[in-house]
Amino acid sequence: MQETLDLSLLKQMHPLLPAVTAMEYAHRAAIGLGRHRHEPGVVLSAALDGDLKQARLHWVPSPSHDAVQIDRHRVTEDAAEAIALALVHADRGWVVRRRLQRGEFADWLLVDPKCKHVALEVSGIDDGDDGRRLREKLEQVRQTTVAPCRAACVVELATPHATLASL
Amino acid sequence: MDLESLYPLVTESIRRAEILEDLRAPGACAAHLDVSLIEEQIAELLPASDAEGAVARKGAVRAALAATDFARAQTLTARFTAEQGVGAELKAELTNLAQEAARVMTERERSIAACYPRVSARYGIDEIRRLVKALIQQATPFPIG
Repeated sequence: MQETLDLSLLKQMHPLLPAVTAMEYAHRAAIGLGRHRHEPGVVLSAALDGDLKQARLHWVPSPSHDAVQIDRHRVTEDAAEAIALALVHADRGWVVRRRLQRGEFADWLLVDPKCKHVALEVSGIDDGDDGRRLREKLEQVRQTTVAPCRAACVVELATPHATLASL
Repeated sequence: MDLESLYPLVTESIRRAEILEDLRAPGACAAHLDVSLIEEQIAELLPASDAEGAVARKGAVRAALAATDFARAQTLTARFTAEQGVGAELKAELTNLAQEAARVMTERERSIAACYPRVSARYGIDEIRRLVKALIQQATPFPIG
């Protein structure tokens, strides 16, 4: 995996991600990480199917007053999306095809470097143990029929830490 | 439009519809209908046997349901299940969605009939619905076409 994950480059990593969505995710990641007093360059620890890795997160800082304008829960979820999408691209070479609707049991449809489809469910928490959330999300994504490869990623912002598990 | 244009569009529209739904905003139904229309466009570009084509077809029906456009959900299901190359699994999922649409429609009819028993008994809810639609479309009260 690369040593740095630049969240301002989400659109380049995932060309089919709408530019406005990439910008919003990066902005909310800035707010979510800033909430825990993290600064660009903070080390993200990641457990990727059991492999422990690290990378430095980079983003464009946002003014502190931006935080009061957006729902806290939305910030956490969107920050998780940004970090998870950057992580799976850097480590696995996965690239977003499209968002999935509720009812498909996963958030994203991606392709891997061999053009095989992957269904990814992403979730964010502010702090605490991500184990229970990961188990819930794995149970959820297990039910999807859109892709043979299914994975869940939980991002915890306080540390920050991410856990990716594939089925 | 091609997939490179439609996929960012469907992603954005799904996010918007979900946010409006969570807010219980009045525009949520219209937003879901947008999703259904874009998914239908994607389905026209991809065969039913293709994994992404299957996603688009289910998506078009599912979003029509979310938009409470049950007639559209049923029409799309009938069209998609009649296509060549539709796998058994996709057909079953689409049929389940259509059955859900039928169930919700029946429930709604029952609920409206309970609220307006005399009108329902005399004219039938379908006729009332037709008159209301005509009234809105012609933009003048009477005579109703």
